[in-house]
This record gives sequence, C-alpha cells and structure tokens, in this order.
Amino acid sequence: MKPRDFAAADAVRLLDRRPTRAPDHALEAQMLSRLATELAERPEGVLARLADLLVEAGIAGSAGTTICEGACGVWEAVSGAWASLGGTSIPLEGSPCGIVVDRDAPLLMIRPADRFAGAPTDPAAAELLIVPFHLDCVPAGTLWIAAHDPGHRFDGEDLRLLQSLARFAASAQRVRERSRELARSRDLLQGTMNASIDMIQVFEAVRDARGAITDFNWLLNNHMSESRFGKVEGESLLERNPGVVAEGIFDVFRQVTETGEPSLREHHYVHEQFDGWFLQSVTRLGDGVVTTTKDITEWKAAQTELLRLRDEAASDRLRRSEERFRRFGEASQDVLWIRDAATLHWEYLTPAFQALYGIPVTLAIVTPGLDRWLDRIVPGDRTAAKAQIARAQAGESTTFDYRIHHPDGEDRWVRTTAFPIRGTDGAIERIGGIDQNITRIQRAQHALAESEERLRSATEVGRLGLWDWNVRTGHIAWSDEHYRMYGYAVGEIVPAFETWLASVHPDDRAATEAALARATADHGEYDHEFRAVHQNGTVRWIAARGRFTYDSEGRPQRMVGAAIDLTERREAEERQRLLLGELQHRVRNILAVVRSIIRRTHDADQSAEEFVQHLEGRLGALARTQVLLTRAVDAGADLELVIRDELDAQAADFDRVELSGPGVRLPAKVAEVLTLAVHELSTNALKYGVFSSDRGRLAIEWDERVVSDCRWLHLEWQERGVDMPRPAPGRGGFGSELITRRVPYELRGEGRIDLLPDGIRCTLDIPLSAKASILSGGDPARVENRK
Amino acid sequence: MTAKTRLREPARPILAGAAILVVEDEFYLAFELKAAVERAGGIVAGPFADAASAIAHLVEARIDGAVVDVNLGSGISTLVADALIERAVPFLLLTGYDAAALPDRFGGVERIEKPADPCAVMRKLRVLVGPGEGQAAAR
Repeated sequence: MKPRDFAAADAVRLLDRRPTRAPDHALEAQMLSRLATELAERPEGVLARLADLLVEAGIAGSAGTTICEGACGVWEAVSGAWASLGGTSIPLEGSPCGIVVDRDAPLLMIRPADRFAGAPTDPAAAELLIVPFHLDCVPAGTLWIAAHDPGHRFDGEDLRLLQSLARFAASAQRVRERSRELARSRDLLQGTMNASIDMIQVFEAVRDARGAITDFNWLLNNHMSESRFGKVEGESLLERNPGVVAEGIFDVFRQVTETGEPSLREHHYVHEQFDGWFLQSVTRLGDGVVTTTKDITEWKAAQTELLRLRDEAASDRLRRSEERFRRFGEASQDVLWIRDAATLHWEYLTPAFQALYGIPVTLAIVTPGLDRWLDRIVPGDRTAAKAQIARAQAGESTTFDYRIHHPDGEDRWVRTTAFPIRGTDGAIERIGGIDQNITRIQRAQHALAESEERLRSATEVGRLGLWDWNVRTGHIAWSDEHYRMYGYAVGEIVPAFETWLASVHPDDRAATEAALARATADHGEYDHEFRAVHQNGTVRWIAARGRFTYDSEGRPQRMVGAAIDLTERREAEERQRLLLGELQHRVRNILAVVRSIIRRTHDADQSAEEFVQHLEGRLGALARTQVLLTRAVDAGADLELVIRDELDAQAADFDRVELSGPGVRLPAKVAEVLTLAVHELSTNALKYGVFSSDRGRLAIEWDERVVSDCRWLHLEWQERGVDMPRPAPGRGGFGSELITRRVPYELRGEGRIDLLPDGIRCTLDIPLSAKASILSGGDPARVENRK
Repeated sequence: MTAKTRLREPARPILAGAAILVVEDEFYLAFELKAAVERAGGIVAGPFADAASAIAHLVEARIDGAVVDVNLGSGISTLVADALIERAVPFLLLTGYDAAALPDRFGGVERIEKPADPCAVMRKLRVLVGPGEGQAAAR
C-alpha cells in the first residue's frame, strides 16, 4: 500500500474539525518532569517510561515508539494493550510509521487495521495517532498512541501533547544513543584494562585551596587491581595505601602530575596487604595519573635465585681453587705469603715460615707490618731488604738475598721473590712473595768462589799460565797469565793451536811437537821446556806440563795444562854460571899474575928483606885494586882516589903534592894497571925522588881527551926539586917495564918516563873505553848468543 | 935476564923452528910464554893481547901451533880458537874456566888451566905440533 493511499493528509484537518480542549500544560509539565527524572536516572528506560505515562494518563490504550533501523522499524517501549508487541520489527515501506517518517508529518488513522494489513488487531485500534521525532533534524522514528475504545476520538490537544513529548523523546533517544556509545567505549576500555594482568589504576589529584596536591583519589581500577584492592573508586590513596609516602610513590605521582614526565620504577613495597617487588609506570592523565603496576616479585626472586646460584657456583669453584692452592702452600718448603700492599700486614702465610724463621705463623700473622720479619734479618741487610719490599709496592717484581738470625743460633741465607698483585682496576692491592732458604746454595757458592779465588791467586802469584784445549773442536781457553806469558793483552787473540805453535821459537818447534805427540802416544804426561818468541821480540823460556784425556777409543779429547815462564830463572842460572866461570878465571888469573910478579920482583942483587918488601908493596897495590873493583858488580875506580891511596900507602907528604884534574872513572883493567904504575912511581919517589929530600915537589895532572870517538886519559907525573941524576925507577926493572911495556900491551895506551934535570916525568895516555866485562854489568847472554 | 936463567928449562929445544902463536892479554903471562917458547927453540908469533891482531897475523903468516887464552879481557871469546880450527892449526886453550864453561865444539881441544907452569905448556905444545925441525935434525 502506497502512502498516498492513506487519507493521511486529512489527519490534522480531521482533528481541526473535532472539538478541542484547552491545552493541559499541567499534565504536560508533570509528564516532562517525570521523563526528565527518568532520563537522569535511567536514560535507557526513558522511551518505555514515556509510553507508560501516556497509557497511565488515559490518553491512549496503547503507546510506543518505533525506531528506524535501516529499512525496518522496531517497536520499542510499547506500553498498554499492545505491550506484548514490544521489540517487533516491521518493514517501514507502506507502514503508517514509514509514511510519517517519509512525509515528516503527523498522521491520524481511523481503524488502521482496515487500511494496513500489518496493524495489530488484538485489540484493534479505533484510531492511531503518529508523530515523527527527529535526530539531528532528520526523522528517526515515530511516537504513537492507539485508542482501542471505538468511541474515542483524538483531538488537537492530544496531537500537541504528543508532538511535545516526541521532541523530548528525540532528545532522550539522543541521550540514550550517546550513553550507549559511551558505555560501549567504556566497556571496551574496561575490557582491555581487565584483560591486562598488570594492575591499572587511574587517579585524580586532590588539591587544597592553594592548588597544592594533597592526595589522589581513585578513578579507575582494572580487574587485576580490584583483585588486590577491592572496590576503591573514589577513595583516597593516602588512606588506603599510606605506604606510598614512605616508598616515594606519592612524590612520583605528584611529580608526574605536575611535570608530565612519565616515570618507570621498581619498588620493593612492603606495606598494607603487599609484600613484593613491583614495576610501576606512571603517566599523566588529566589532573592525575594513570599507572600500570606489574608484580615482579617472582621474577625478582627468580633473578635473585639465579644470582645466588651463580655466586654459589663461583664460590664453590673458588673454594676448590683455594683449597688446591692451600695444599700447595702447606706442602711447600718455601714460604709463600701475601701482604696487604698498603699496610704490609700478612694476609696469608704458609707453615714453612716457622721452620725458616723460627716464629710461629699464628704469632707472625697478627703482628702488623714488616717488623716481625725485619727483626729476624741481620742488621746489615735490613735496609736493603726493606727497600726491595718498597719496590714491589711500587709495582716491580724483585728478587733479593739476605741473612736472618734463626733462634737456633745458626744464620740462614734467604732469597725472596716479591711481586705486586693487582686488582681488577689495575691498582696494586697486595704483594705476593716466596721466601726460599738458600743457605746451602750460598755456602756452596761461597766455597766455590773461595776455591776459585784460591786457585786464581795461586796461579797469579805463581805466574802459572793455564790452558784448556778441546782437541776435537780446537777450542782453547787460556788463563789471563797465559796471554801475558806470550805478550798478549788478556783476550787480545782467540787462542788456537797454530797461533801458539807459531810463537814457539823456530828451533824448538819440532821438539815441542814431538813432545806433544809422545804424550798422546804414551798416554803419558806432557812435560817440556821450550823457547817462545814474546810479542815484544824477546825470547822467553817456558816450562809446560799438561795431560790429555782420551775417549773410549783412546783418541785425545781434551788437554789441560799449566805453563810457567822460566826465562828469569834460566837467565839467573846462566848468569850464575858465567859469574862462577869469571870468578874462576879471575882467581886463576890473579894467581898467575902474582906468580909473574914474584918472578919479576926477584933479583939476585937484593937482599931477601928487600925482596919481601918489594913483593909486599906490589901485592898490596894489587890487593887494593881488587878491593876497589870487587866492591860492586860494575865498580870502576876513581882516578884521584887510586892515586891518593897509593901515595898514602907510601906515607907521602901531601903538602908537597899537587893533584889536579877532573873526576875520572877508571875501567877495572885500567885501574889495576894504573894502581901498580902509581905504586911503582911512589915507591921510587920515596926512595930516590921527591920524598927523599925536603925540597922535592910533585905535580900530578890529568885530563880527558877525545880522539877519534874514543875517550883518552892523559896523565902527567912531574917531580921537581930533585937532585939528579939518580937511578930511574926500576931501571929496566919492574916499574919501568910496567909503564913502558905493560901499559901499551894490556891497555893499548902509551907510557913514557923522561929523566929531567930536577926530577923525573912520567906521561901516560890510556884509552878509557871500557871493555865489556862480565863484572861490568853487561849482558852475559851475549856470550851465549855468539854460539 | 939473569933471573930467568935460573929457572928450570928444557935441556933441548923441543919446539925447534916451530912457529907458535901466543894469544894472552896478561902482559906478564904473555911474555913468560914467549920466553918459554923461545927457550924451547920455537919462534913466537905475538904475543897478542886481542883477538883482532892475533887473527890478522894468523891470516898472513904460517903458524904451526898456538897457545890461546879464551878470555881476552871481556869474557869468553872463541874467535881466535874458531879461526885456528878453520885453518886446522893445532892449539892449546889456556883458560881460567872449567871445561863446562866452554862451548861443546871445544870438547876435544887440549886445555891447560891457569895458573899454568910454562914448562907444562911447552910439553903439551910439543905433543901438539909434533917434533920441530931442530929435533928432527937431532935424530
């Protein structure tokens, strides 16, 4: 049925034609008031209440609203005779409601069941009045009243009232829809919140008159929160949970509220009904905060347990490690110790300490610092030992030796190695140390050093050159003296057999090699003397003794030996031999000379007394020369002394003698001949010359002259004031012969005697070039070298 | 010379004509030897007091035998002796030394130790140089 088929357009005009009543404002106000209350208290029930009120007020037999939902209309809030039809949904197309919504105008239908097949019939309506209501100016549904009494006629007042109520219903519907949306949204939020296993709470700040936050009120709680707190909406945080102040939570809320800076913290909250760990995030919401709080007590516990287990495992490992270390320490003969780096207190000390130092460990370990240890150290070593510990404190590893007094009276040598032990940050926390008893090592070393020193001294004092020849490798070691023996600086050359052999005197090389070969062939001792050419060119005599050692097959492996320089001894022996020979020569020569003198002194013309006198004089002169010449090895004789001695022997009057000449040293042979010459001249002068009269004077003058690179002595013996003629001294006799013949023969000189009117004059020219003599300090080796 | 005639001397000139070199640096000994050689009929070359003049003479003259002192004032000198050996001239060594003091090569040389009796020297010389001309003539 199409809407235009209804005589709806007549509805309002139909009512206009019916008698009307005065508007019943009182009823209207009463109904609106009741609906307003309903709206405030139960917005959901406003439409139902409206329908009820219309029926209660006797305005209609049934009343209700139809809400458009797409192409259908749903009968809602139906009251009165049709109440059972509430919730029915009908198609809007062709229905009276559809027409009203379509036209957006009221409609009055008389006996609607006649004109609309869908209209209820039990009871059927006599009249049906429908008005549209609007949501946002668009028709959204209808409000209707039905009269079942056949004689009831709706009038204009009914229409006015219904339209007024429809406007309210529209508002109510709007409120209801909004409320529904809000509820949905709220339910969604609550659901989400409730789904969380964290406690979610919303608080609103409570401020005092000055605006300062004094408390928070609960606004919202999720299920989880409710399970712990129960219903707390609107309650005071500080009253329910005063613990939040102590835990700083209240301050966090306040701060987040005022700054907007969110916070995330862990709390160990043991207040009120709580005892656990919580992770709480706080975010500002309005003038308050929203918090989520996770109970992390179990997680914390698990974590703690995990840490505990880890520590336990670690400490167990540590304990086992320490146990092993302790066993080592206790078993060690050496003392192991650990000291605090700063205080130097012992933290660890092994039992060996007591044995080494004679102090119980328990006593030592309670004594502060180094004192107990230092007391044991002999005073001379203390400062050094202390300084070494300071080095370890400074981060250095150090090893040092010192002596200690042990209570048993015997000193010990101790070697300590101390080292820094650093903490994880690299700082030196402790000093570790090992004390070792090295008394026996030290004694052995001392003994060895002493023995070496003795050997060294002995070989040095004895001028022993030692060698150690590894025959197989050719390596040779020489002692210092061995180098010096051959004229090398110590270490100047690398000793080698060839070098050594080259320094053996060429004449002795073959014999020396043969001696070595003999020693190895016989497995005997090498004992050989040979000459070596020293680096300075001199020839040295060396005596060497050595011994080979042999391998299992009899091949020489090594030779150790000692050599000594015999040169001085050899020279001394040679010199002694030559001196002895010279002595023999001299003695025998003297005897031969004496024999000749005796023969020559003998004269048939003289008496025995004269013979003895002459002989004694001459032997005396000879003896005086020998005394002069044998005083020292290279003794020469002083010319003037020789002359004075001879004059003195004749008791000459020195007042009448004039001596002049330089100091002249006479070689031995010259002295011998000259002494005898002066003796003969003096004797003659006493008998016949100067000293035989009171007037005689004697001048003896001499000087030295150099003739063709040779020094010559020129001497004149001049007598004056002597009555001449008188016999020449030993004319053709001993003295004359001596001067004129012996001087030229033995001394390569010249001797002359002149007889002058007032005395004799003797002139002697004698070369002074000393013939080298064994007694004049020349090198006797020269004789040998002429071989 | 009267003193000398009193000394005992050989009855015959045992060195007759032999040229005898005398090398002795002691004047008295040298001339005693000279006299002894002459008394024995020998002809004396020298005496010489040093090796150089002795050797110079040796080079120029015929020498049948020699008496040589090994010490001519400056220790043992074997120059003259060596020169004599070289020329195969028989000689006596006159020495104040022990045999040990002389080089080994003189081991076979006749030695007379000082102080020597000139007569003993002559007897040795005679043995050394063999019969002189005079003696040969006497046979």
